[in-house]
Amino acid sequence: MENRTDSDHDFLADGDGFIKLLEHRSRFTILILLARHDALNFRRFKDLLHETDGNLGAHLRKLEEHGFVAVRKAFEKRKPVSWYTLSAEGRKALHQHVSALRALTANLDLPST
Amino acid sequence: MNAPRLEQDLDFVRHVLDDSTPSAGVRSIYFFWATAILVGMPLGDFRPEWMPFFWMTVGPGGWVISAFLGYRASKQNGQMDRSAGLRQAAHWGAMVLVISLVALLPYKGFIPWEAMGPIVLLLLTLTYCLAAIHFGRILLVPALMFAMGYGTMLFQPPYPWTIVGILGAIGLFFSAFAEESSRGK
Repeated sequence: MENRTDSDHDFLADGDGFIKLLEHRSRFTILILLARHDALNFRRFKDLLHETDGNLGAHLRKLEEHGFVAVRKAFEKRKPVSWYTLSAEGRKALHQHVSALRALTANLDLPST
Repeated sequence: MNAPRLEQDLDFVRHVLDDSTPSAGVRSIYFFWATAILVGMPLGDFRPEWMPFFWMTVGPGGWVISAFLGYRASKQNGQMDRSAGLRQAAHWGAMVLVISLVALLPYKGFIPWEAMGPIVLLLLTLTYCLAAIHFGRILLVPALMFAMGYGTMLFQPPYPWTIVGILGAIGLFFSAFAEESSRGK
């Protein structure tokens, strides 16, 4: 995994602080889930996000390539299982993206719940 | 990014987070304690001399077994929540510890042995009520059953401990099946 610098981070972000990679709601939700829970495996993500294997695999690969999630492969009952955790870089990116969302929603006229 | 799409995306996130919330309990743990209560409580009617030894062994030992069953269920579910697991372990571990300490009271002669039963049932009622607040409302059912058990001990019908055991087991079996069905499993 190559080392990322702050300038690499900015490459992923637009001028308002949003992380482009997290503008897809499934990728954004994956990071939020990993921030809330310690680790989730592929099957659990699939159950929660209702994504196909191919789509989910692509999302997780992208997040892993950018260093936002770490993956640990294990064997359970002789089957390979991939467990995902949030990296420090992923936590930082999530925090930045959520801050940008907060700033945006403060200016939007969203209906009250 | 427009407002309707943002609202949809945030709703999506909210629903997924709700679905990911850990359940109040684990089926295997409910079954374990329901069985332990069905076996251990009637001892008070039929073999009262065995009852203290049974609970001083099954209480702490069962807590360790429950921790293992909870960990295994998390792994099988594909979601690990260390802090949630530690909270559960601390909550139920505190109950086991307090009940163990209460057992010193009749041993030292501060209270008669007959008072242990109602006191333990009150402690169980309190612990399950607090668990219902912190972990999930379904645990109010066993809390209610243990409260009825306390009432049973006050009125002393025939075989009161057996009745307590049946009530407690009903509460825990109900919680096991109700929780699983509410999560669509």
